Amino acid sequence: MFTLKQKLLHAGHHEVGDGHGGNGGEKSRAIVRKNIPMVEGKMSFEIFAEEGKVKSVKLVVEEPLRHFEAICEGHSAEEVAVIVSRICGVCPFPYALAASKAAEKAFGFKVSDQTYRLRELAIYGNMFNSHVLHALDLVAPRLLHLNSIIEFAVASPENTAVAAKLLALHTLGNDLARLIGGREVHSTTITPGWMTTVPKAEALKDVRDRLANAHETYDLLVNVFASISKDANPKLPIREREFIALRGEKKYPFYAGLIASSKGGVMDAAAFEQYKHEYVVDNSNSKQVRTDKSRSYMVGALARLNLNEDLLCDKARKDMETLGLSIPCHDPYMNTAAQLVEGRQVLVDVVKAIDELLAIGLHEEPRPVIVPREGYGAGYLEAPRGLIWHEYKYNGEGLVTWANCIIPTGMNTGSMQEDLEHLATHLLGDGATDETIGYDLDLLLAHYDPCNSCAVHVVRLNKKEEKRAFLAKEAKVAVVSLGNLIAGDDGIGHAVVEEIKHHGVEGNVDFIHGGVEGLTLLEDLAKEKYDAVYFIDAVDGLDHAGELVRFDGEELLAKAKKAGPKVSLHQNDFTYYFELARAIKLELPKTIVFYGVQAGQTEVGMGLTPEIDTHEIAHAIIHEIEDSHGSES
Amino acid sequence: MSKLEEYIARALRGDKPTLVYAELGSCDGCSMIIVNLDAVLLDLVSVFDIKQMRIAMRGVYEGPIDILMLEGAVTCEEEAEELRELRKRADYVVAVGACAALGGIPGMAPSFAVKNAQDGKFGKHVQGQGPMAPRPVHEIIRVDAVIPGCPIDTANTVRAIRVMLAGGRPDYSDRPVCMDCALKENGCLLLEGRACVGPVTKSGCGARCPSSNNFCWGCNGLLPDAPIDALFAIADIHGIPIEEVKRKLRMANQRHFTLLEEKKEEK
Repeated sequence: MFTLKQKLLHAGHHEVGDGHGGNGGEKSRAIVRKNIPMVEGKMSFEIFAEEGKVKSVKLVVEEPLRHFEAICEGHSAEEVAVIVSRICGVCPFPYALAASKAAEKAFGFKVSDQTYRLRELAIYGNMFNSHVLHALDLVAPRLLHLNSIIEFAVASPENTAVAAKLLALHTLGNDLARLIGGREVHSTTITPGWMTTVPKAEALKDVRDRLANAHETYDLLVNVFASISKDANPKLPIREREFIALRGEKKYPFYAGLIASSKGGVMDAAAFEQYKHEYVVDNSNSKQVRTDKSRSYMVGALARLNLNEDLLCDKARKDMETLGLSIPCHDPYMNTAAQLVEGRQVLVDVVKAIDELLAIGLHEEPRPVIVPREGYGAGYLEAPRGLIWHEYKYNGEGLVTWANCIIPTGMNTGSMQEDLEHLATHLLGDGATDETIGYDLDLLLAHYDPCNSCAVHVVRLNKKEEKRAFLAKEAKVAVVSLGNLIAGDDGIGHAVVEEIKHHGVEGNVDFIHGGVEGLTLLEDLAKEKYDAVYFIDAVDGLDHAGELVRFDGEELLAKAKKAGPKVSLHQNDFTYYFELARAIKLELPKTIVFYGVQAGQTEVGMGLTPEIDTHEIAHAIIHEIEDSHGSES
Repeated sequence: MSKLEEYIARALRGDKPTLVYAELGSCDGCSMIIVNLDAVLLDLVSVFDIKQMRIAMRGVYEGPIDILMLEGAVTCEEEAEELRELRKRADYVVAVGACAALGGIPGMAPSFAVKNAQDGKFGKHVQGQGPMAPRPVHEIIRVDAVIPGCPIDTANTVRAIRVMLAGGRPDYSDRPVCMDCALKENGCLLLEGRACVGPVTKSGCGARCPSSNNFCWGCNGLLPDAPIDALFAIADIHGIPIEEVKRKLRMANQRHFTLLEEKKEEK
């Protein structure tokens, strides 16, 4: 068995001497922990100091890149739910659910009440097993300076009995997760639109009773954890931070709610989308996220607890007392304690939820018909480690054309980095030994419960890097004006295309003045094999001059058939050529978008009506092109 | 002396067979299946000496290994090098789960994404790892046995460990998932007009996903001489777009098809 010191050495800890030959009193220090054990995935930290001052602190997520967003492209929503579940084997349910919710949002589908309730139960199961696992298998041995729960369990028959009793809680969480999700790791029932299998009432009753009777064992877990963490957690100065989590209305939220920030208030999905900003850092494979308000923020149990403390049950409050936790609490070393408080809340809420569901009665559901449509959807909920956010764009067949997954550890890496900086400075100033610093900071990261495999599927970066990264498969885009340059406002298309050209647009974009060409223009566009074509033309039938209308290819055809606003002002309606092109099986670009601008006057002559703001129109189109073709705003 | 006799003799001396569980590019879901054994795991450690398993214990073991379990796909040169070193110390190597056995979901990484990572186009991520197209372990080192699935099946895993302890090789019948669906009297998804790749996939999971009324996506691997054209024909008869079946075939088994295509190109 290792002694503590050997363990530290084993984990890669070392000290280097003075690197620049000054007088012997000056010393540079390096405290490096490689491949931190008992966390999910590969993660390290490096602290360099000179003359007692911290020079650099680096959190490194070394788990190799995993390309998940690129993998999703071209797959249907139900396939994507299976794929992204494999981002994380520790908390797989929230991943499959985030993807399912995103698809439902994009396709305008609402799940049944029963599906909603079953999904809540699934999350309770995953939340409970993950929290117990973290406290019991990963953090407790660390606090006891042991190598694993097994080492604890085999030390004596008494230990074996205690370990077996506590591990039964973990098994219980897994049994609930398995009953609802089909399997405790990577659900076989969670998919967009429904739960493919509904559990039997008897089985649900059985697990309900076991959960209802688990409080006594759970007391033991809380008491054991409270006693071993009391003195083992270092007392360090606390840094105020921003917390972000779901905010519940009536009950403690995991599956649904608005997104709340301790600094930014309560937000809906659209507001949060604007509020958070992803970026990459050197020498780490994880993305990080900041907000409008802070360089980093914390998600997870402590964040949820800080933002939803008023919704806790009495039993959970009592655990807070036992564990020495009071809100507000900004101490990251209390995150595991917060997980245990949540575990208790789950035990109480899950029994209520099962009772409600049993009272309503379970019934088989037919497979729902979900009609896909082109568009964007974001899905979010709470995973054990914090808020999880998935967003996808789908084409008309419901296949993913763009994906972005922001996962809890990705959000927390920035917060961990900032804590490391803060605490390293303090510890060094305090004259702590390398061992102490190494141990304290290793423990800090462990309390965060990081999930590094999940954090490293970086493929979406800022615009410039993204553009470079995607050159290999960049879409070929054409922006085409239609209309007669010498017929007053019919020249609007020409003017807007010139404006876009002048401003510049990211991507592989050609600019074409189509004039009053019809079929020959479409033939030319087909020959060039454009992935996407944006037409801009003057239209009639809207309310006021300069008003903008947007149709995609399908809508355009539908409009042509109905007597809606007349599309295009040319003798032969442009939509006529579309139908013609399809009739002769011309291979048209996959994406066709038609922008129409209401004309003011179309008398012979150059120049536009003053009400028409070509600048604004051009920017709307630039935005769409950049958003749709491999760029992230 | 058979493996079993050797293990027994060693166990009597208090020298239990050593087991190392190493993770490559994966979600740790297979690790979780093992950790989730809970009390069963406590039993297992009475017969094995688990020396290393990052998610559950501290420490890196550097001695000889009786059984090396590998989870995850090989995603970079650094991992491939580590693997070669591990193989030298290991008596018996088991690929655990679809990623290690087939390439699995990581094996779906499109070539443009891998190339961009190689070219450092995702920013200055961890240097010197040498990203490569994610691939199964057997493309790098010799593998003695496989525990298939995404994730591995709990019962299969316990059985495989028992078999290995007896010096045997855990093996799985090459019967299709359909056979298990039939035995369980599940309805057939294909007959309902839903895409499923069960007919060309090895079972051993008890038709886990179809039994949950969900599609099989081939995570146990393709059958030898998998009748893929026949699957397409069945799909076609039942009005299922062949493209959809192809997409589902190209999930866990994408690496298999990538290699086939590369071979074709070489010719």
